[in-house]
Amino acid sequence: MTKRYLSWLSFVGILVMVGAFALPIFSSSTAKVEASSHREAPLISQDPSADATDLYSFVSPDRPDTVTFLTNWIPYSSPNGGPNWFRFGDDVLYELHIDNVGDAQDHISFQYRFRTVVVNPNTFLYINGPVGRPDDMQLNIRQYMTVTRLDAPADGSCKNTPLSNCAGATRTELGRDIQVAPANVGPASTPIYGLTSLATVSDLNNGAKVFAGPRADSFFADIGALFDLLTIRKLPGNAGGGVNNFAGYNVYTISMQIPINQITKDKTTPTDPKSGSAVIGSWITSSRQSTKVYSDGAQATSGSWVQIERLGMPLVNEIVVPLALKDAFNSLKPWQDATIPAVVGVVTDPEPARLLNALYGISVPPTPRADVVKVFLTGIEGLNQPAGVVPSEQLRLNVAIPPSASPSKLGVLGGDVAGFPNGRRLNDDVVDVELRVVAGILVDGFNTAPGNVLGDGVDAPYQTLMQSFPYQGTPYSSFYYYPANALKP
Amino acid sequence: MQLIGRHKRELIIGAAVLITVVGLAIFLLPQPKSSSPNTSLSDLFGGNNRTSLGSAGGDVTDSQIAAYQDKLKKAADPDSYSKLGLAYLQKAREVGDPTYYTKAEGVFKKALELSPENVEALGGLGSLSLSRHQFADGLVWGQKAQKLRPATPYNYGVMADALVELGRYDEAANVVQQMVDLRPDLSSYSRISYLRELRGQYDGAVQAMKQAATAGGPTSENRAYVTYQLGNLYFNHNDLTQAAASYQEALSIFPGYVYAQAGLARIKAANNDFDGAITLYTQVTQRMPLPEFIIELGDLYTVTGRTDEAKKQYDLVRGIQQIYRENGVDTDLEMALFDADHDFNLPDALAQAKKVYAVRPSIKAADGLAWTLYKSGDYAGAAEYSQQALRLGTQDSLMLFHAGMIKAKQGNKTEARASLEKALSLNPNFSLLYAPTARKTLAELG
Repeated sequence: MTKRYLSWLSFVGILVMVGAFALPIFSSSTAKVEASSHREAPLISQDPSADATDLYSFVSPDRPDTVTFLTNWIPYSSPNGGPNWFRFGDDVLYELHIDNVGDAQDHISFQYRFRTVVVNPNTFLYINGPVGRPDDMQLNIRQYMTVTRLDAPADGSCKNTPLSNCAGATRTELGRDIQVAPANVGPASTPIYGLTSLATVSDLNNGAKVFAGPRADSFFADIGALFDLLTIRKLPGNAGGGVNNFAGYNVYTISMQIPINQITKDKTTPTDPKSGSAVIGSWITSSRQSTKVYSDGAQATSGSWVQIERLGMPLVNEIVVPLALKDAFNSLKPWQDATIPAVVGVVTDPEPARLLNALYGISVPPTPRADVVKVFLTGIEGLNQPAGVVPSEQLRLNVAIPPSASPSKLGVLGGDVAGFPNGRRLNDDVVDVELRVVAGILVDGFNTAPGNVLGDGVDAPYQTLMQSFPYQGTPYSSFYYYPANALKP
Repeated sequence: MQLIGRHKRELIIGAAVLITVVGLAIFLLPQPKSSSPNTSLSDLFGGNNRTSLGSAGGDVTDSQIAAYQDKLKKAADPDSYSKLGLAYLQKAREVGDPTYYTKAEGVFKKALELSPENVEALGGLGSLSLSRHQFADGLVWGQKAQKLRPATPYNYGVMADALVELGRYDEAANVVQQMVDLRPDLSSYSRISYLRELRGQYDGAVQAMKQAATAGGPTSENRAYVTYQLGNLYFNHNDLTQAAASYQEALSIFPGYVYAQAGLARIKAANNDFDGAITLYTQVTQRMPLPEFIIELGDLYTVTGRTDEAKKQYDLVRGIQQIYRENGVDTDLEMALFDADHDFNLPDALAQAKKVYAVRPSIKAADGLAWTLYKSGDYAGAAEYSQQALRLGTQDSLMLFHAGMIKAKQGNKTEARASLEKALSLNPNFSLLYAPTARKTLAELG
């Protein structure tokens, strides 16, 4: 959710944070280019292809011996993207990290790398003719993904080191050159888009599946109101009335469904929720390579991977990390979280709680908020807290709790222990849950109205979901695109 | 979305008329005194302040400005002041109007009055100082912001840019290394490219600028900007095909992008299509009246024998320069070079160039001083500063040309030949006014 906040700021129009650089003024002479007094490169740059939006993790309801991880990127991808469609970054390292021990270390990392191929380099056109099969030659600009799994060395030599920079990590290539699903252009270019897109779902070794490409953004929230000083359009927010600001937008997803016994620490498929191997913590990152400024001759093309984005639980940046720390948080690793007083401090005194009190007179629990710490930093005992957990910001899923037969969008708060904050499913209303948690619903004596019925009035993803992998809905097409605010929530 | 395409005919006719009319007006009206703060670009351009960087409008920025102004009417808060300041800076960029600098400064200062550690205001003042060429100030603001937010790359960018212009290149490199180690992205990669370019590392500069471009969003103006910079790298290395391709790509990323159009105009001139270049530059100056474009247009008129039209452009430059000065922009180096290049008022030019160098001995300032000394007849002095200018090994045709001319006057034929040959082989189109001079002098040297 980190990047949603920033992206929303951009969208709402605080674009200045992105483009605030000034003019080259003069050129002293004539055809010499860039002879202006100084070079004025941008000071803040958007990096949408490295921008994480959401992480979902849940035991697959249709294949309960597997876990599904949906990692979404590139927010506010307008379907009306032609001729320059968004793409994954060829220079970006996308990663899904797994902590299956609870010690805030990088135990497994799934790395996703992309390469762009232009079939006909003499044109900038995305599509030259109708595309049915995803590999039809008329799809001029296409991307291919390679999936690699890294496991931390058993000797602990990479403790407190990201696996991407760990020489001793075990590397296993799971899939190479898997085609990324194309954009949903329209009935002339992609006449059977649903089939075309799903044809790119790939089986990896050992029963795992992977998919990369655009999908309708599954997130649903009245961000416009919430970021207007926590406005709730139709108080207390549990009876609709909100506007889903994500309706009509796409995201780019890297989705994976993997057998549970490939990611637990003991390679089993636990059935007892109290088992020591049942809790799988996860977070996603994007990284780019540093480089030496000068390299004396042969230019250094690559240096170490520098993490530029990080995401685990939704809405972390709003509740856990203040805007002032957002740059710092982006580069933090989970094993550092507990050592940063500002991070831990803010969780124990979340600003939204103060706002709820100030604006709505809701009686919120006194600080420090151990309950919020549990939800974001350690997991809840008896549910998704590993034994001996080292506090760190992760999305934690207890894989021994089977999928619910009748899921509640309020997850645990609705009596459904297979739901958020135990992992996160597409229909879980994380905004409502987090508002209520912040208001004190988990604390004795504070599970009272209106705090325990707060919400943003938006209750479900806009696009219809699928019943099987990759679950997220068909992306909105360019041809049928309407401005998002014309879509009904 | 092509603003230019839609209004091309009107723009060409209108621009020609406008510039004639405005040029005459400048000539006839008394020059505004520096104490009158109300001169604006619209005064010079007959009310047309709807210039634009590209086809995507400044409507977003305008609505942000309005929104923050509204908000501040109801209650003053430091964050809204600083965000308004950043919006003003963005507006200044979009329309090429420096009066927004004054506005920005005002609200940044208000933000700091309310909250002396407001980081956005500190960073914004840093960026503003850079735009005004007050590089020592820019460094101070940048450092203040960086101390408060050591994890925020923006502040390193401000510091690095200031250090480069102050001539402190090693320190700049350290800061840029910190910046890229913190966050490899378009901002840091593009700064690496520039530092490499200054050191004469052409291949590395190209590579880093390409990295910057691929790290930008597919339709972002930032990406168009660095793609345009890549085009410039190619142009300055006499690779006109790649340069044109880059400028075209910048236009496909950001339709109507005025810098890319200027780039294409330069390529037309390099191919001796002067009429085509003049047409395109006229559109460019109509859209974005930056002095660098207006000087170029003036020089195109000069080399095609249209001296009256050239003079109008040069006079316009002075008018705009006045507005910049009124809005706190230090244009001393630029004006010194402009005057030296065109043989206007050399004593003033020399005094200004000396002043600039004393404050910030960058290689550009050194080269500017060298050239004004040369034009003033002090060849020994010129040689000393020319050497300073080339101390990093920058492969820069203009600086090499200056060096060659100086050496020729000193009677140092061998070195003069070497420098002039180098200048022309690197980029035979390095200057409309002076490439012919380089060739002529080389021929005379025998």
